[in-house]
Amino acid sequence: MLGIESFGATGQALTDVGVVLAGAIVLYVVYGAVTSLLGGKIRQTVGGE
Amino acid sequence: MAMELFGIAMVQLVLFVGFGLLIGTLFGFFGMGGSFLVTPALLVLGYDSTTAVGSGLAFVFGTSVIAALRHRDHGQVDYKLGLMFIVGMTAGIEVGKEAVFYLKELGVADLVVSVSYVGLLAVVGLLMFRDARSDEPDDANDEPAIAERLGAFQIPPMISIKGGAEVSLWLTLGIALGIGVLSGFLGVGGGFLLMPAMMYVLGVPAAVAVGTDVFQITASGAFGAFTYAQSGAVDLSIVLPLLTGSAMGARIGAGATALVDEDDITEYFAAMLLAGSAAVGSKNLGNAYDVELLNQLSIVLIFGAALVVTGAIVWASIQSMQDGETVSSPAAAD
Repeated sequence: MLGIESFGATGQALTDVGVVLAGAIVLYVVYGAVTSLLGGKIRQTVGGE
Repeated sequence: MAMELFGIAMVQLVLFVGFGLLIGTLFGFFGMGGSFLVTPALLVLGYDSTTAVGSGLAFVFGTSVIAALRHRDHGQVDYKLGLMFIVGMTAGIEVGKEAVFYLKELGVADLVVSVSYVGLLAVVGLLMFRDARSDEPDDANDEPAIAERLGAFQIPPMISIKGGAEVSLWLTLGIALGIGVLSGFLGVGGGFLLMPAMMYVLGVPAAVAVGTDVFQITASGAFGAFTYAQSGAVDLSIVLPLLTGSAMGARIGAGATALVDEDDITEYFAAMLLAGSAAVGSKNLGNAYDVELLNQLSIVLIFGAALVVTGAIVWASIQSMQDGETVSSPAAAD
């Protein structure tokens, strides 16, 4: 799909590591946004403030 | 036909995201990477040892990338020391991986890796139990005897690092090589060994040790994942759901450190590691004697224990929030 697989096992391994890296960065950004948006609300709801 | 999303069965997706959430919460709270429960869980679920170790290392890489992003602004990374660890650990990981594949050729890899995990989880669990039961207050300067003896070897050349300390190049490379072999053999990041080694043996200040640990695990995790992926032993349908759950869990766990005293939960955590050890042992006995009940027991033990301890952390956090209490504990290292 990315063309890199044509390099064989090394290309496939680079693709796998790249997918994990990209996934981690996306999760960091998305969860960072979710935490800052909802963190205070959760604390208020559970803490009854 | 089972429902699928991106080619992954929904049951597997939910299972791994859920387990990732538990692991992330636990280890976000206790400040560890969490890798050393992922590989045994995969072994218990019936994955072969190379896939379990390779996918475990890819998970280590993903979690350490997220941790490194969170640490990057604190200036707590000593790149010179990190580079020495990367060199030593890279060589060690390659040795560990070759050992696993050699054992696989002999047909005993699953057994040896499983037995190693039974021992590792039992030892770490028992040490934590002893620590939790000890009446003595924690003392940061309370060096283990072996660390004191190793630290006495000032083999030149000595390299100066952040915080004013000096470390021996050869001692650092030796420690990194040893932990790298363990990492490549078991699919663990090695942070739970590297942190005490850096602080007690090399005399690295705690803050620099945390930052450097995260930095080097990112690099060695990437290398470990790459080297296993070349053999097709990294299963992204395992790694990505686990990472999705654990990244969220790590935030919950890190948030809980401000609400719950770690000492209140340590005994549960130690019990969970011992349950993990028993689970891997039970799985192997189940396979050896073809007893399905033991296989099911192993799954209940490892996932049930993780669920109970995570539940205890979340419950204590909610209680603490309702009481309006906070504790002054340091932020988790991820």
